[in-house]
Amino acid sequence: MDHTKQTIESLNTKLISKELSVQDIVDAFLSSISQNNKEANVFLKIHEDFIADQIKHAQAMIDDGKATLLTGIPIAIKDNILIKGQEVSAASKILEGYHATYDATVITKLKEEGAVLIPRANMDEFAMGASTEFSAFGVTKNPHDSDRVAGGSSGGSAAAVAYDMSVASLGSDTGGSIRQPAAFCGVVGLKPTYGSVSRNGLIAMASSFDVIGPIAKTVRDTQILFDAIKGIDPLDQTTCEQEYSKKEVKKIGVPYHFLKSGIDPDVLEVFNSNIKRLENLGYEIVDIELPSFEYALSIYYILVPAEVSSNMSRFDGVKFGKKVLGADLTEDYFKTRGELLGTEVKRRIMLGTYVLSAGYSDEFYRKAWTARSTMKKELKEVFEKVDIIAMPVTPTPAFKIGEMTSDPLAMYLADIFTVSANVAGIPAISIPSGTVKRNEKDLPIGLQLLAPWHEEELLFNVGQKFEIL
Amino acid sequence: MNNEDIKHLATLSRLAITDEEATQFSKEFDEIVGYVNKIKEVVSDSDSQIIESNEVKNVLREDIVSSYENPETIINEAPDHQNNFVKVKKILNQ
Repeated sequence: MDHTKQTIESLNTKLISKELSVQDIVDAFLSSISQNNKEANVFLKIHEDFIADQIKHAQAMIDDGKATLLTGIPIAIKDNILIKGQEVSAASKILEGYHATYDATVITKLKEEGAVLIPRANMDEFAMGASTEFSAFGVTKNPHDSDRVAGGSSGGSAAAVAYDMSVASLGSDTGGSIRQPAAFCGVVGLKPTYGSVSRNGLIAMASSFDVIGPIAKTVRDTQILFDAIKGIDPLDQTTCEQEYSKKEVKKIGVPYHFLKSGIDPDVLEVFNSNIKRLENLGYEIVDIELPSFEYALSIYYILVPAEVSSNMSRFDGVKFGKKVLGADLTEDYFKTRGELLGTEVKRRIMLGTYVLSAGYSDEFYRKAWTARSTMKKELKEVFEKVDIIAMPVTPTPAFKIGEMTSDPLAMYLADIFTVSANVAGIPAISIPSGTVKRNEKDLPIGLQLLAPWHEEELLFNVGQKFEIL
Repeated sequence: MNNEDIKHLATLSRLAITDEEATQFSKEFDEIVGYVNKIKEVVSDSDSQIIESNEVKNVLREDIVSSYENPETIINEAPDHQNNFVKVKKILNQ
């Protein structure tokens, strides 16, 4: 039986009963890596010694009777999450050769469980992008069609699961970076509530939006990984207690006004059949109005570049990674940043500088913050009428490599259905929900479910009923 | 936005950019800023305020110093270092 097709719980049972060793399991996934990684560019680098040490540690935990659900389970880690002593670059040349000096809180938690971490899953540089085409180290190919992108920014993390290179993975989601690649690759991805998972040790992109989350083949595996990484952390002051209402989902809202244009007809057809399926499962579908969703992208592309321009100022060639020498210190800054940062990162730093500059910050930044509060208020009201919301994840299936890179605005518009959850801070999950045919190939489509703050459980409950295993 | 505007933004951002990049960004920024301008249609000047008093609360904790083993590993990750210090070029000219 193929070990790479099994769930966390099934692998755990076999590890405990000694039917399989940790080595057996990890070898099965490593063999897919050695078979596919060269072509697919899912991982930037594999450090076999680091993996071998973890296998020994996990097996010892099992032999000592101290195993947990995640002991010995291979988990891919996005290249913006720090693992002490391991290389990490956020797929940027400016951090090439840099080694993390501490463990991210999520990594500490996974190490305690004896998970086998497989770092350096490819991504867009500093998580800015939606296709991994902005990685300084090449694009990750879509597992269903190698002419297409795996999505992004957590493209490596999603593709790792789809290619059977890991059971599950960690990504980060600032505007759709977990859900969109999960949808493009045909796997499950969760963007948790903002503050439910510690950002300590995540290389920051936009601090009031970023959240680390899990990707896996099933909703249940996604839930297991989320439960392992969530929680209050003294090292991240924005983490907060999760309070579940434990209510049962009855009504699902659909903002039909938001689906009238800008969506591929085949994708809309899949979505409509998904809604039928939810109805058949016994849920009541309610047409809801969310006017603020119509300008969510404007809010997003004002506030995110603003936060990016501030967060990226730390990369100055002095403290981390690489530098390019100039005549004096100021020229060192200009050359290091100018030569080692990619086009998209520069674009966002400069956009952020623009919206924050004197005379414009009132027009853009302040107004975007006001609109952000309006959206949260609107969602609170809607969640009094419905328990969760359903939407597509993306307006199209995975696009072709190179199709969008020359038109940044078109690439930004592709985030239309995902950014709202980040602007509001609510949890959202992407679940494989069908396929559309393009050039004789079946490309996966995802269904997105959004819940009120801290109500991930509702997503898992409905998601498990909806998914077809 | 013309190339001069873009170059000014690049200077503020401490980014060396080429003339080709400036031309490319100038076209793209007009499109992107044109798009995000939508925000002005939905938020009037008088509505514009940053309020979240009921959503955001201050989180405090004791500032306790804990030790870090081998601080030199942090220094060693800096591009230029010497005798356990990060090395920076002189900032003030005499």
